[in-house]
Amino acid sequence: MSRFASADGRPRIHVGSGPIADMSAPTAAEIGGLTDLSAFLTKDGFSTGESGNRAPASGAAEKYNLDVSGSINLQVAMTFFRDDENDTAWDAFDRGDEVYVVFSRQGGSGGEGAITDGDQVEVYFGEILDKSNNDIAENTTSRFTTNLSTGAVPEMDAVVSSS
Amino acid sequence: MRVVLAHPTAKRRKSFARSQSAAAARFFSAGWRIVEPEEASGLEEAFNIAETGAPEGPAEDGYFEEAEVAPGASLTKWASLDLIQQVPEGPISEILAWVDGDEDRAQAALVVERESSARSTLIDQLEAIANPYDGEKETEL
Repeated sequence: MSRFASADGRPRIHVGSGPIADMSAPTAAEIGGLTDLSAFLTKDGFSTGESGNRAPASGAAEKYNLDVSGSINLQVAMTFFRDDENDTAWDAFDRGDEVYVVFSRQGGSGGEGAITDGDQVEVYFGEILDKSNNDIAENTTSRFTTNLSTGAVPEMDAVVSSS
Repeated sequence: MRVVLAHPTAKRRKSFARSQSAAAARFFSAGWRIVEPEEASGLEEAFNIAETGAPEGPAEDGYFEEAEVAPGASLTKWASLDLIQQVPEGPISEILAWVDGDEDRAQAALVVERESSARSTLIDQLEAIANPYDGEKETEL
């Protein structure tokens, strides 16, 4: 068993219009067709915000409020650096664009942490809802946050396939 | 027990329950290899072993047992878990009465006896019933 740091050199992220034929098994070529924004992702820059809802299932005659699982909400949000020479992340997509997001939480097993065949990844699909520049502040690098709609059921246990 | 797969090159593992067999199949197809249970050669076999302790065989639960029937030879026989649970406790005569010449019952009783008292007299008699063709089989022409 080996725990790993969540944001210290490991995560890789690719964003783009795709397509990805099978979100549960994206190919290395499909991921290569997206834009690699790993170098622009801030250390606290990726969250999925998954939360399950409860459906009350107890009647008036019952003391304990029992419940059953209801719907699930997902709120994928990403924060990237702005760059005054190559503003790659900011230029990669616009509001309203439908994009795939391939996120490798453990990092890829390829050279320099690149995602390669057999690597476990998470795949999300949705529409870019906004591009919000963070407030300016002293001694703070410029960055922006973008939120993604839930356009498809996410694949949290996808694996990169060779074909 | 869950099935554990390992990444083809990196030091990473992932475990799967039977309900996650579709996800396991994706990883297996992507080159991940089975590390637990070690003896499994395929995913279906791995899940069977993880659930029942038996690689393959009848749909019912049970045990595989390696039985030495002749020098240098061995016989792997299947013993039904249902029958194993029916084997009576008691003197040799009572167990033989329950077996009543039935090969399957004899095999189930063998599994139980070897795990418990291991009475050699009973084991010899059960083996003779469970493996009636030990050695040469005479064929009438």
